[in-house]
Amino acid sequence: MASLKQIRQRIRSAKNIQQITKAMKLVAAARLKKATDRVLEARPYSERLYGLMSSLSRAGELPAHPLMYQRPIHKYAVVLITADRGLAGSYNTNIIRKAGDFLKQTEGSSSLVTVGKKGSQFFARRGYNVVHSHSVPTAGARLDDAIAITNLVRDMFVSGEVDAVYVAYSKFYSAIRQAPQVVQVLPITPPAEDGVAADSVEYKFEPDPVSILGALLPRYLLTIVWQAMLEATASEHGSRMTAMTSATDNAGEMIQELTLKANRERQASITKEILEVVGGAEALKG
Amino acid sequence: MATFRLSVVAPDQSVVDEEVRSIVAPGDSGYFGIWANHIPIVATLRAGLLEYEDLDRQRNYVALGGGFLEFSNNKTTILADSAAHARDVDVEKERVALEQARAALRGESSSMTSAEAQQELERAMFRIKAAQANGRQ
Repeated sequence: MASLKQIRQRIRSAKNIQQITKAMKLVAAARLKKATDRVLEARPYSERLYGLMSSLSRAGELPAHPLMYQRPIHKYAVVLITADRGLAGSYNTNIIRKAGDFLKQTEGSSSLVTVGKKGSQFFARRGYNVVHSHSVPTAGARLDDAIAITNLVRDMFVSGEVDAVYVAYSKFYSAIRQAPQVVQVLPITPPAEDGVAADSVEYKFEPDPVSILGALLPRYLLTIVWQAMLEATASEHGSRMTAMTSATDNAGEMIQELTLKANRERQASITKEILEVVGGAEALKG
Repeated sequence: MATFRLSVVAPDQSVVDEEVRSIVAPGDSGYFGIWANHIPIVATLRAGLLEYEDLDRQRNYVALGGGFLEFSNNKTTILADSAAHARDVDVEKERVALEQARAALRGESSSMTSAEAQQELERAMFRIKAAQANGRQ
């Protein structure tokens, strides 16, 4: 049985932990708000770009472009987006597990491009070929980070160093739901024909479809990577907020339990003392 | 008079979304104008100044860092690599950026590659131009 002093010490430390988790929860909530705003702000651009791609492909056969070049996949690269820090619930574990499964299932030699320390530490320690690790500022990824990653994988693909590029990230649905996923980004596959050819417009192209496509595809690639980074940031903060909320609640419960125990212990020691006094008095009488 | 919708979106934000009377955009082979009921067009844009006339006949300027323009059904979408509305430009900040880019181009500073510096120079220049064009009214 723990002594009263020990229990009180445990209450104190539980309170300290609760204070920390509460602070982390508030910080994560504020960052989550910012991150979801950024996801929403970035959405119009990617939607419109996607629409433009569709109207281009409806306008006729898409001309060949190096970024769309399909070839047998012998070597591939995975861009793994994780957080720099832990204490975000199962966020990092989930995405790392998903990426690990993908690496095991996919044949061919793999290289990894990591964004965020957690993923690069995990896979570098296990002997995977991490060709580049990028770290993003804690305030969240900037567009420049996405540009750097995009240029890197584009060069790898165009030079033939890899035959396909995938992005592993956590898609953000809400603060309590994020789904890790792996999507293929290179070679770029044109948007599927949705069968609504009726409303397709005859566009005039200035200068011509080939050059427009040439300018469009790199930006399309960038947008996918950028969107993935933003979603990952939002997921990270969402996951951390949820984890820290339950940690704070758990600490509260623990404090309550320990307080009860401490009170009981205090009561027991008082009772014991009284019994001793009474017992002593009885003994003197006798 | 017929008007049409203009939206200018950059990867990280939406800059303009309003009804306009006409626009002048920096096309790859020179500036071109678009009025309502133009035929559907897709065009690539250079870095430059986008000018549009709003419903109050005010001329507005947006500094664009290249991109695309799509026009159909009286809706224009400009997908810009970067975009800044003239009223949001901080001229002092851009002048500093301009000077830094110039210094980098002269080889006095190695903080950026010459391609980056060139890009930065253009960006800052058009932002300042946009702000000045806005101030002239």
